[in-house]
Amino acid sequence: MAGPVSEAHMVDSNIILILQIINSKADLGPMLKKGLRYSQISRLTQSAKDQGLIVESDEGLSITAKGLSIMRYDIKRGKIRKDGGWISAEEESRIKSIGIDEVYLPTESKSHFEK
Amino acid sequence: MGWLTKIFDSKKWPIDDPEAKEWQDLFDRFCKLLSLLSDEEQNLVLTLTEDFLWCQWTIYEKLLREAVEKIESKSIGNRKYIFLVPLLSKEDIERGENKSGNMITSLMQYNVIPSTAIFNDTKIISLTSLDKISYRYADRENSLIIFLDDFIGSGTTADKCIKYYNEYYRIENELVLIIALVAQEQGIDVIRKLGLNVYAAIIRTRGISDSARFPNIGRAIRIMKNIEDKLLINGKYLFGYGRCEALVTMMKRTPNNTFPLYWCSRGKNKLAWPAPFPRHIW
Repeated sequence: MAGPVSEAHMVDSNIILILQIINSKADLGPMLKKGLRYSQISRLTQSAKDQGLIVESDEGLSITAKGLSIMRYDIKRGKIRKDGGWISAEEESRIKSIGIDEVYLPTESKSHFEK
Repeated sequence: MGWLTKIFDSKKWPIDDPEAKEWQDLFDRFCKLLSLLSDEEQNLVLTLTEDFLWCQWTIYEKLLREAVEKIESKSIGNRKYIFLVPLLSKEDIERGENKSGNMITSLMQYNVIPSTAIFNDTKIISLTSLDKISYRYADRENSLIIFLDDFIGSGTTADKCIKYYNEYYRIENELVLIIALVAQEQGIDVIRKLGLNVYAAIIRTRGISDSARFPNIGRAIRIMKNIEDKLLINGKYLFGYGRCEALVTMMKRTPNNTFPLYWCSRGKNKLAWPAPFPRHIW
Protein backbone atom coordinates (compact mmCIF):
# COMPACT_ATOMS: atom_id res chain seq x y z
CA MET A 1 0.00 0.00 0.00
CA ALA A 2 1.35 3.41 -0.95
CA GLY A 3 2.32 5.52 2.05
CA PRO A 4 2.70 9.28 2.39
CA VAL A 5 6.27 9.21 1.00
CA SER A 6 5.45 7.74 -2.38
CA GLU A 7 2.07 9.47 -2.64
CA ALA A 8 3.52 12.90 -1.84
CA HIS A 9 5.81 12.61 -4.85
CA MET A 10 2.77 12.17 -7.07
CA VAL A 11 0.90 15.23 -5.79
CA ASP A 12 1.20 18.58 -7.56
CA SER A 13 2.78 21.24 -5.35
CA ASN A 14 -0.15 23.56 -6.06
CA ILE A 15 -2.51 20.96 -4.67
CA ILE A 16 -0.35 20.84 -1.53
CA LEU A 17 -0.87 24.61 -1.30
CA ILE A 18 -4.64 24.16 -1.62
CA LEU A 19 -4.53 21.60 1.20
CA GLN A 20 -2.61 24.07 3.36
CA ILE A 21 -5.11 26.82 2.63
CA ILE A 22 -8.09 24.63 3.49
CA ASN A 23 -6.44 23.27 6.63
CA SER A 24 -5.53 26.73 7.92
CA LYS A 25 -8.85 28.31 6.95
CA ALA A 26 -6.95 30.84 4.85
CA ASP A 27 -8.10 32.59 1.70
CA LEU A 28 -6.78 32.23 -1.80
CA GLY A 29 -4.27 35.08 -1.58
CA PRO A 30 -1.15 32.86 -1.63
CA MET A 31 -2.36 31.07 -4.76
CA LEU A 32 -3.24 34.26 -6.60
CA LYS A 33 0.09 35.81 -5.65
CA LYS A 34 1.73 32.75 -7.12
CA GLY A 35 0.10 33.68 -10.42
CA LEU A 36 -2.60 31.04 -10.54
CA ARG A 37 -5.89 31.94 -12.17
CA TYR A 38 -9.25 31.18 -10.61
CA SER A 39 -9.91 28.63 -13.35
CA GLN A 40 -6.74 26.76 -12.40
CA ILE A 41 -7.66 26.88 -8.72
CA SER A 42 -11.11 25.43 -9.49
CA ARG A 43 -9.57 22.59 -11.50
CA LEU A 44 -6.99 21.87 -8.81
CA THR A 45 -9.75 21.76 -6.18
CA GLN A 46 -11.66 19.21 -8.25
CA SER A 47 -8.49 17.19 -8.72
CA ALA A 48 -7.85 17.21 -4.96
CA LYS A 49 -11.39 15.90 -4.44
CA ASP A 50 -10.90 13.21 -7.07
CA GLN A 51 -7.72 12.08 -5.30
CA GLY A 52 -9.50 11.85 -1.95
CA LEU A 53 -7.39 14.61 -0.41
CA ILE A 54 -10.34 16.88 0.38
CA VAL A 55 -14.02 16.22 0.81
CA GLU A 56 -17.14 18.38 0.61
CA SER A 57 -19.69 18.22 3.42
CA ASP A 58 -22.44 20.45 4.81
CA GLU A 59 -19.69 22.59 6.27
CA GLY A 60 -17.90 22.96 2.98
CA LEU A 61 -14.47 21.71 1.94
CA SER A 62 -12.27 20.00 4.50
CA ILE A 63 -9.06 18.05 4.35
CA THR A 64 -9.15 14.27 4.72
CA ALA A 65 -6.73 12.21 6.80
CA LYS A 66 -5.00 11.22 3.58
CA GLY A 67 -4.69 14.84 2.54
CA LEU A 68 -3.34 15.81 5.95
CA SER A 69 -0.59 13.20 5.94
CA ILE A 70 0.49 14.16 2.43
CA MET A 71 0.37 17.86 3.22
CA ARG A 72 2.68 17.46 6.17
CA TYR A 73 5.22 15.49 4.31
CA ASP A 74 8.11 17.61 3.17
CA ILE A 75 9.49 16.17 -0.01
CA LYS A 76 12.73 18.16 0.18
CA ARG A 77 13.54 17.07 3.68
CA GLY A 78 12.23 13.58 3.25
CA LYS A 79 10.65 13.61 6.71
CA ILE A 80 7.33 14.63 8.30
CA ARG A 81 7.10 18.35 9.16
CA LYS A 82 5.07 19.36 12.17
CA ASP A 83 3.66 22.52 10.76
CA GLY A 84 3.23 21.54 7.09
CA GLY A 85 4.95 24.91 6.45
CA TRP A 86 3.85 27.37 3.81
CA ILE A 87 7.35 27.70 2.42
CA SER A 88 10.18 25.18 2.53
CA ALA A 89 13.58 26.48 3.68
CA GLU A 90 15.91 27.38 0.84
CA GLU A 91 18.61 25.06 2.10
CA GLU A 92 20.88 25.64 -0.88
CA SER A 93 21.24 29.32 0.07
CA ARG A 94 22.03 28.72 3.72
CA ILE A 95 25.48 30.00 4.81
CA LYS A 96 27.58 29.01 7.77
CA SER A 97 26.83 31.20 10.80
CA ILE A 98 29.67 33.20 12.38
CA GLY A 99 30.35 33.88 16.06
CA ILE A 100 28.79 36.83 17.84
CA ASP A 101 32.14 38.62 18.19
CA GLU A 102 33.19 38.00 14.61
CA VAL A 103 32.92 40.59 11.83
CA TYR A 104 32.24 39.61 8.26
CA LEU A 105 34.56 41.30 5.73
CA PRO A 106 33.84 40.51 2.08
CA THR A 107 36.77 39.49 -0.10
CA GLU A 108 38.08 42.34 -2.23
CA SER A 109 37.28 41.89 -5.85
CA LYS A 110 39.88 42.87 -8.42
CA SER A 111 37.20 44.07 -10.78
CA HIS A 112 35.73 46.30 -8.08
CA PHE A 113 38.95 48.14 -7.31
CA GLU A 114 40.59 48.22 -10.69
CA LYS A 115 41.16 51.71 -11.93
CA MET B 1 -15.31 37.40 27.16
CA GLY B 2 -17.38 34.31 27.95
CA TRP B 3 -20.11 35.44 25.55
CA LEU B 4 -17.56 36.05 22.80
CA THR B 5 -16.02 32.62 23.39
CA LYS B 6 -19.45 31.00 23.08
CA ILE B 7 -20.00 32.83 19.79
CA PHE B 8 -16.65 31.68 18.44
CA ASP B 9 -17.27 28.10 19.56
CA SER B 10 -20.77 27.95 18.05
CA LYS B 11 -19.54 29.36 14.76
CA LYS B 12 -16.31 27.32 14.81
CA TRP B 13 -14.24 30.46 14.41
CA PRO B 14 -10.59 29.96 15.35
CA ILE B 15 -9.41 30.90 18.84
CA ASP B 16 -5.68 30.60 19.25
CA ASP B 17 -5.56 27.92 16.56
CA PRO B 18 -1.95 27.46 15.41
CA GLU B 19 -3.13 26.07 12.09
CA ALA B 20 -5.40 29.04 11.31
CA LYS B 21 -2.41 31.17 10.38
CA GLU B 22 -4.24 34.20 9.01
CA TRP B 23 -6.83 34.35 11.76
CA GLN B 24 -4.87 33.71 14.93
CA ASP B 25 -5.56 37.19 16.28
CA LEU B 26 -9.24 37.40 15.26
CA PHE B 27 -10.39 36.74 18.82
CA ASP B 28 -7.89 39.30 20.14
CA ARG B 29 -9.16 41.94 17.71
CA PHE B 30 -12.69 41.36 18.90
CA CYS B 31 -11.57 41.69 22.52
CA LYS B 32 -9.70 44.92 21.78
CA LEU B 33 -12.70 46.29 19.95
CA LEU B 34 -15.05 45.48 22.82
CA SER B 35 -12.65 47.13 25.26
CA LEU B 36 -13.23 50.44 23.46
CA LEU B 37 -16.99 50.25 24.01
CA SER B 38 -19.43 50.93 26.83
CA ASP B 39 -21.47 48.08 28.33
CA GLU B 40 -24.53 48.71 26.17
CA GLU B 41 -22.34 49.06 23.06
CA GLN B 42 -20.64 45.76 23.84
CA ASN B 43 -24.03 44.09 24.25
CA LEU B 44 -25.11 45.41 20.86
CA VAL B 45 -21.95 44.24 19.07
CA LEU B 46 -22.06 40.79 20.65
CA THR B 47 -25.74 40.41 19.78
CA LEU B 48 -25.05 41.39 16.18
CA THR B 49 -22.04 39.08 16.01
CA GLU B 50 -24.30 36.14 16.91
CA ASP B 51 -25.83 36.67 13.44
CA PHE B 52 -22.57 37.38 11.62
CA LEU B 53 -21.87 35.25 8.56
CA TRP B 54 -18.22 34.52 7.72
CA CYS B 55 -18.33 32.99 4.28
CA GLN B 56 -14.97 31.35 3.67
CA TRP B 57 -13.71 29.98 0.37
CA THR B 58 -14.27 26.41 1.58
CA ILE B 59 -18.05 26.79 1.41
CA TYR B 60 -18.21 28.72 -1.87
CA GLU B 61 -18.82 25.67 -4.02
CA LYS B 62 -21.50 24.34 -1.68
CA LEU B 63 -23.33 27.67 -1.71
CA LEU B 64 -23.06 28.01 -5.46
CA ARG B 65 -24.55 24.57 -5.86
CA GLU B 66 -27.41 25.51 -3.52
CA ALA B 67 -28.12 28.67 -5.52
CA VAL B 68 -28.13 26.75 -8.82
CA GLU B 69 -30.49 24.14 -7.38
CA LYS B 70 -33.07 26.87 -6.89
CA ILE B 71 -33.29 27.43 -10.66
CA GLU B 72 -36.24 25.72 -12.31
CA SER B 73 -35.08 24.13 -15.53
CA LYS B 74 -38.35 25.02 -17.27
CA SER B 75 -37.58 28.70 -16.69
CA ILE B 76 -34.45 28.31 -18.81
CA GLY B 77 -35.72 26.09 -21.60
CA ASN B 78 -33.32 24.72 -24.19
CA ARG B 79 -30.47 27.08 -24.79
CA LYS B 80 -27.72 26.83 -27.34
CA TYR B 81 -25.18 28.80 -25.29
CA ILE B 82 -24.76 29.70 -21.66
CA PHE B 83 -22.45 32.60 -20.94
CA LEU B 84 -20.99 32.88 -17.44
CA VAL B 85 -20.11 36.50 -16.76
CA PRO B 86 -18.92 38.28 -13.60
CA LEU B 87 -21.40 40.82 -12.29
CA LEU B 88 -19.52 44.07 -12.99
CA SER B 89 -20.60 47.60 -13.78
CA LYS B 90 -19.30 49.41 -16.86
CA GLU B 91 -17.04 51.44 -14.58
CA ASP B 92 -15.64 48.29 -12.96
CA ILE B 93 -14.82 46.88 -16.40
CA GLU B 94 -13.13 50.09 -17.53
CA ARG B 95 -11.06 50.17 -14.35
CA GLY B 96 -9.99 46.60 -14.95
CA GLU B 97 -11.57 45.46 -11.69
CA ASN B 98 -11.11 41.79 -10.98
CA LYS B 99 -13.92 41.26 -8.56
CA SER B 100 -15.07 38.03 -7.01
CA GLY B 101 -17.22 37.15 -10.01
CA ASN B 102 -14.29 35.55 -11.83
CA MET B 103 -13.85 33.13 -8.95
CA ILE B 104 -17.54 32.23 -9.15
CA THR B 105 -17.57 31.78 -12.94
CA SER B 106 -14.65 29.34 -12.62
CA LEU B 107 -16.33 27.41 -9.82
CA MET B 108 -19.49 27.28 -11.89
CA GLN B 109 -17.77 26.05 -15.04
CA TYR B 110 -15.37 23.50 -13.56
CA ASN B 111 -16.95 22.35 -10.33
CA VAL B 112 -20.72 22.88 -10.30
CA ILE B 113 -22.04 22.57 -13.87
CA PRO B 114 -20.27 19.23 -14.55
CA SER B 115 -22.29 17.71 -11.70
CA THR B 116 -25.56 19.47 -12.50
CA ALA B 117 -28.22 18.16 -14.87
CA ILE B 118 -29.93 21.48 -15.49
CA PHE B 119 -27.48 22.68 -18.13
CA ASN B 120 -27.02 19.44 -20.05
CA ASP B 121 -26.17 19.59 -23.75
CA THR B 122 -25.48 23.30 -23.67
CA LYS B 123 -22.22 24.92 -24.63
CA ILE B 124 -20.80 26.79 -21.63
CA ILE B 125 -18.66 29.84 -22.26
CA SER B 126 -16.92 31.77 -19.48
CA LEU B 127 -16.11 35.43 -20.07
CA THR B 128 -13.93 37.63 -17.88
CA SER B 129 -16.26 40.59 -18.52
CA LEU B 130 -19.42 41.41 -20.45
CA ASP B 131 -17.69 43.45 -23.15
CA LYS B 132 -15.94 40.29 -24.37
CA ILE B 133 -19.25 38.96 -25.62
CA SER B 134 -19.25 41.15 -28.69
CA TYR B 135 -15.84 40.02 -29.95
CA ARG B 136 -16.87 36.54 -31.03
CA TYR B 137 -20.51 36.16 -30.09
CA ALA B 138 -22.27 39.24 -31.46
CA ASP B 139 -24.55 37.05 -33.61
CA ARG B 140 -25.34 34.52 -30.89
CA GLU B 141 -28.90 33.28 -30.66
CA ASN B 142 -31.03 31.43 -28.15
CA SER B 143 -28.59 31.94 -25.33
CA LEU B 144 -28.63 32.44 -21.59
CA ILE B 145 -26.41 34.91 -19.77
CA ILE B 146 -25.73 34.20 -16.11
CA PHE B 147 -24.18 37.06 -14.18
CA LEU B 148 -22.35 35.81 -11.11
CA ASP B 149 -21.00 37.28 -7.92
CA ASP B 150 -20.30 36.03 -4.44
CA PHE B 151 -22.20 38.81 -2.65
CA ILE B 152 -24.96 41.23 -3.60
CA GLY B 153 -25.48 44.09 -1.19
CA SER B 154 -27.52 47.13 -2.14
CA GLY B 155 -27.91 45.95 -5.74
CA THR B 156 -26.14 49.03 -7.11
CA THR B 157 -23.56 47.02 -9.06
CA ALA B 158 -26.23 44.67 -10.40
CA ASP B 159 -28.37 47.63 -11.47
CA LYS B 160 -25.46 49.23 -13.34
CA CYS B 161 -24.44 45.92 -14.90
CA ILE B 162 -27.92 45.17 -16.25
CA LYS B 163 -28.42 48.68 -17.58
CA TYR B 164 -25.05 48.44 -19.32
CA TYR B 165 -26.06 45.09 -20.80
CA ASN B 166 -29.47 46.41 -21.93
CA GLU B 167 -27.90 49.42 -23.60
CA TYR B 168 -25.01 47.79 -25.44
CA TYR B 169 -25.34 44.03 -25.62
CA ARG B 170 -28.92 42.87 -25.28
CA ILE B 171 -30.30 40.82 -28.19
CA GLU B 172 -33.75 39.42 -28.79
CA ASN B 173 -34.72 36.16 -27.08
CA GLU B 174 -31.70 36.18 -24.82
CA LEU B 175 -32.44 35.19 -21.24
CA VAL B 176 -30.58 36.74 -18.34
CA LEU B 177 -30.38 35.71 -14.73
CA ILE B 178 -28.18 36.50 -11.74
CA ILE B 179 -26.65 34.08 -9.28
CA ALA B 180 -24.99 34.98 -6.00
CA LEU B 181 -23.84 33.01 -3.01
CA VAL B 182 -25.14 35.54 -0.47
CA ALA B 183 -27.46 38.47 -1.09
CA GLN B 184 -29.02 41.19 1.00
CA GLU B 185 -32.78 41.44 0.62
CA GLN B 186 -32.51 45.03 -0.62
CA GLY B 187 -30.29 43.92 -3.48
CA ILE B 188 -32.71 41.14 -4.42
CA ASP B 189 -35.57 43.68 -4.54
CA VAL B 190 -33.56 46.00 -6.82
CA ILE B 191 -32.84 43.19 -9.26
CA ARG B 192 -36.41 41.93 -9.30
CA LYS B 193 -37.61 45.44 -10.12
CA LEU B 194 -35.44 45.20 -13.22
CA GLY B 195 -37.56 42.21 -14.23
CA LEU B 196 -34.85 39.61 -13.70
CA ASN B 197 -34.65 36.37 -11.79
CA VAL B 198 -31.98 36.26 -9.11
CA TYR B 199 -30.93 33.20 -7.13
CA ALA B 200 -28.89 33.23 -3.93
CA ALA B 201 -28.05 30.42 -1.54
CA ILE B 202 -28.40 32.70 1.47
CA ILE B 203 -30.59 35.80 1.68
CA ARG B 204 -29.85 38.21 4.52
CA THR B 205 -31.88 40.95 6.12
CA ARG B 206 -30.75 44.12 7.87
CA GLY B 207 -28.83 43.38 11.04
CA ILE B 208 -30.71 45.78 13.34
CA SER B 209 -33.79 47.13 11.54
CA ASP B 210 -35.06 43.68 10.49
CA SER B 211 -33.83 41.75 13.51
CA ALA B 212 -36.04 40.07 16.08
CA ARG B 213 -33.22 40.21 18.65
CA PHE B 214 -33.81 43.83 19.64
CA PRO B 215 -36.98 44.65 21.63
CA ASN B 216 -36.26 48.34 21.03
CA ILE B 217 -34.87 48.85 17.54
CA GLY B 218 -34.71 52.62 17.93
CA ARG B 219 -32.46 52.24 20.96
CA ALA B 220 -30.23 49.74 19.13
CA ILE B 221 -29.88 52.17 16.24
CA ARG B 222 -28.94 54.98 18.65
CA ILE B 223 -26.25 52.79 20.23
CA MET B 224 -24.85 51.88 16.79
CA LYS B 225 -24.67 55.56 15.90
CA ASN B 226 -22.60 56.11 19.05
CA ILE B 227 -20.21 53.34 18.01
CA GLU B 228 -19.89 54.61 14.45
CA ASP B 229 -19.24 58.09 15.79
CA LYS B 230 -15.88 56.75 16.98
CA LEU B 231 -14.88 55.73 13.43
CA LEU B 232 -13.14 57.82 10.79
CA ILE B 233 -15.36 56.95 7.88
CA ASN B 234 -17.21 58.46 4.92
CA GLY B 235 -20.86 59.09 5.74
CA LYS B 236 -22.06 56.87 2.89
CA TYR B 237 -20.77 53.80 4.78
CA LEU B 238 -22.65 54.44 8.02
CA PHE B 239 -24.73 51.36 8.81
CA GLY B 240 -23.03 49.82 5.76
CA TYR B 241 -23.21 51.18 2.21
CA GLY B 242 -26.82 51.58 1.12
CA ARG B 243 -27.75 51.24 4.81
CA CYS B 244 -27.73 47.52 4.22
CA GLU B 245 -26.77 46.81 7.87
CA ALA B 246 -25.06 43.69 6.57
CA LEU B 247 -23.35 41.20 8.87
CA VAL B 248 -21.27 39.37 6.29
CA THR B 249 -17.67 38.90 5.33
CA MET B 250 -16.74 36.98 2.20
CA MET B 251 -13.63 35.23 0.95
CA LYS B 252 -11.79 38.13 -0.58
CA ARG B 253 -12.96 41.01 1.52
CA THR B 254 -15.67 42.30 3.79
CA PRO B 255 -18.33 44.09 1.74
CA ASN B 256 -18.72 47.78 2.60
CA ASN B 257 -22.43 47.00 3.07
CA THR B 258 -21.46 45.42 6.39
CA PHE B 259 -21.55 47.61 9.49
CA PRO B 260 -18.19 49.46 9.34
CA LEU B 261 -17.25 48.65 12.93
CA TYR B 262 -16.32 45.22 11.60
CA TRP B 263 -14.07 46.41 8.76
CA CYS B 264 -13.01 50.06 9.21
CA SER B 265 -9.42 50.25 10.54
CA ARG B 266 -9.33 53.92 11.49
CA GLY B 267 -10.94 55.67 14.38
CA LYS B 268 -11.24 59.37 15.13
CA ASN B 269 -8.49 61.23 17.03
CA LYS B 270 -5.86 58.98 15.47
CA LEU B 271 -7.33 55.94 17.17
CA ALA B 272 -6.52 52.66 15.43
CA TRP B 273 -9.74 50.66 15.22
CA PRO B 274 -9.14 46.91 15.73
CA ALA B 275 -11.48 45.82 12.93
CA PRO B 276 -12.11 42.07 13.18
CA PHE B 277 -12.55 41.67 9.40
CA PRO B 278 -10.61 44.55 7.80
CA ARG B 279 -11.13 45.19 4.11
CA HIS B 280 -8.04 44.26 2.16
CA ILE B 281 -7.34 43.55 -1.45
CA TRP B 282 -4.92 40.98 -2.75
